[in-house]
Order: sequence, then structure tokens, then C-alpha cells
Amino acid sequence: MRKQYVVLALALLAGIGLLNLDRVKEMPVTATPVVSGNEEADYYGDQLYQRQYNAAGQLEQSFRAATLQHFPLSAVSHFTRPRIITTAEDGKMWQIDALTGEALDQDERLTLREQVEIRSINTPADDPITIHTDWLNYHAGQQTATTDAPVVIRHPATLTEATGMTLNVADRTLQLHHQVNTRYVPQASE
Amino acid sequence: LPEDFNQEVVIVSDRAEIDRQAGVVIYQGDVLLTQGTLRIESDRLTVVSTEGRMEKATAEGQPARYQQQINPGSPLTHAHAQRIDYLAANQEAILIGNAVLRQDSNEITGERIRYDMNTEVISAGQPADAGEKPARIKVIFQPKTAEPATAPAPAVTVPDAPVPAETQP
Repeated sequence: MRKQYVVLALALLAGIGLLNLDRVKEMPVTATPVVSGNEEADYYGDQLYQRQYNAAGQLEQSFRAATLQHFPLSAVSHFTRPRIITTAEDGKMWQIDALTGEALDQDERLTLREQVEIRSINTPADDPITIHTDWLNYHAGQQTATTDAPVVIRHPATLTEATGMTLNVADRTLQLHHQVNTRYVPQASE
Repeated sequence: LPEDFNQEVVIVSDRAEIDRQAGVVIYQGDVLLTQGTLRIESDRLTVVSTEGRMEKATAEGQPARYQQQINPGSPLTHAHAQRIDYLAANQEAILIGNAVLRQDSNEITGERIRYDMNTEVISAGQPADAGEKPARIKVIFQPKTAEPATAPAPAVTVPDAPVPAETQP
């Protein structure tokens, strides 16, 4: 009889352990790096504007932010109102806006958060596209934006929802990772 | 139904890739396209759009399946094939590869079947390559029972070998 109780207790412990493991996995990989309450920024920036040119001397990417704070101990920079404008080789441009963002010192990745909006800038009048999500990682080197969060893509003729996305600026492709649902607006009968 | 074509097209799938340069979207994994009573199920669906409007959707599967109610009161039209091209603007479906189309108890099988959803004209047959016999098609019309058949038998045009003539009756 006692042996059964021991087995039951072990099973319960294993179950709780698995549950915790599952919750840890759910934590988004890009949780906001915690800056300890009393850590002070070692430098502060205002109206930041950074430009990057390609080998041919053309403006390839620009980054703006209303404010910047750098925290040495946490090795992270925090931005408010970050805006990225990135241009593909064929001249097509994308603009990415958010309320906040951060970048780790040792990482070229920029994480944008809160009301993230991506829009195509110089596209024909009937072909603009806007993408909304909660957060995304922008990789300047590859000119890609990725997220695991839900995304909503609006286009004059379609509305698409999905979970998880990779936008590749260079080849103008957009991969939707899970649960894709697209609605095509009915064609007006000629 | 006639009003199917004025309805929203909804496509659901596991994942997708949008190629804005080519104006092509490829949906993959358990893909379901619906538009009113029209329903196409497939493993992969390639949608070509022009100015954002869906021109053509190519469904591929083992097999890809199509179903639609053409007229109020008429039974569903079913079809399946390795590939189904749905031409939205022309309201046509082209079934390619082990194609089967069933309406009521009538059935047509062949390598290639073109189905006009408006006029319900079906063109079946496959252009024969030089020196080859054209692939055969098979048409089964159920004998008329005492009561009038619920759905008139579809008009089928069978092209003369070897060059298929998609002629209207």
C-alpha cells in the first residue's frame, strides 16, 4: 500500500516539473532584458539618427529613435520610438515603427516592441502593404524581420492573419509560419 | 451558386510564402479555399494575383479536391485530380492528371477536363503528342429513371483525336 503512495508522489512531482519546463519554454526568447531597478544609464541620446550605405554608396538602411539609454551592467540599449527604413536592391523600401526597442551590446539584432508596424513605402498606389504585430527582431545584416507573434497583413485586396513571420527585404518575400488565414476581397464584376 | 463568384475567397493553410515581386502566394499544408459553395482542398495552392486580385489558383494534392453547388436545388458537383487550376475571372476549373468529375450520378474521367461553371460545359480530352494515341476519356451517363432527373446531364464535348477542339455545343 505504501509503495503505491510513493509511486503516486513521484508521478505528481514529475508532472509539476514538466509543467514548469513547458512554461519556461513558452517564455519568448526575446523577453525584455531586465535592467535592475537601480542601474543607471552610462550614456543617453536624443533624436538618434544612424545611416548605413551599401558598397555602391547608396543609402541602404537608416535607424532613428527619439531617445536612447545605454545600461552598461545589463549591456543593453533601450530606445523610444525607434524607426527603421530599409531599402532592397530593387529600390523597394520598407519602414518599421514601434513604441519601444532594445539592442544588446553583443548582438546586431534590434528588437522592436509595442504597436510594431511594417509598411511598404514606395509601392504602386494599389499595392501598399502594412503588417502589424506585437514585437519583432530586425537583423540589419540580412535585412530580415522575424517574429513568433501573431501578425495581421493588410493589402487593398486581401487581409491575412498568421502566427509567426519572416520578412526578407532583399528578395521581397514574406514567410508566414503557422495558422494562415487569407481573405481575398470579392472581385467587382465587370 | 451563381453568386459564389461575388463572394469573398477565404484561404486557410498551415503556412504560406508571399513573393511580392512575382505577385505569387504559395500556401502549403492542409490548404482549404472556399468561396460561397465552392470548396477546393489541396496540399499546396499557388495563387497568382494581378493588382491584388486573384487571377488563378492552382491546387495540387494526392488528389486535390473540388466541390461546388452550381445551381440552387441541383446536387453538388464533385471533382478531383492531381492538379486543379481555378481560373477565377473565367469561372472555370481545369482538372489535370487522373481527373474525375461527378455530377449527380454522371461521371467523367480522363487526363484533362475543363469545366465551365457558368455554362456547365465540360470539355474532356488530352492533346496527343506527335505519334501518340490520345489518352482516352470515359463518360458514364446514368439511364433516365421514370421521374425527370433532378439535374440535366451536363453537355460534354469530346475533342476529335489528335487535336482537342474545345468547342461549345
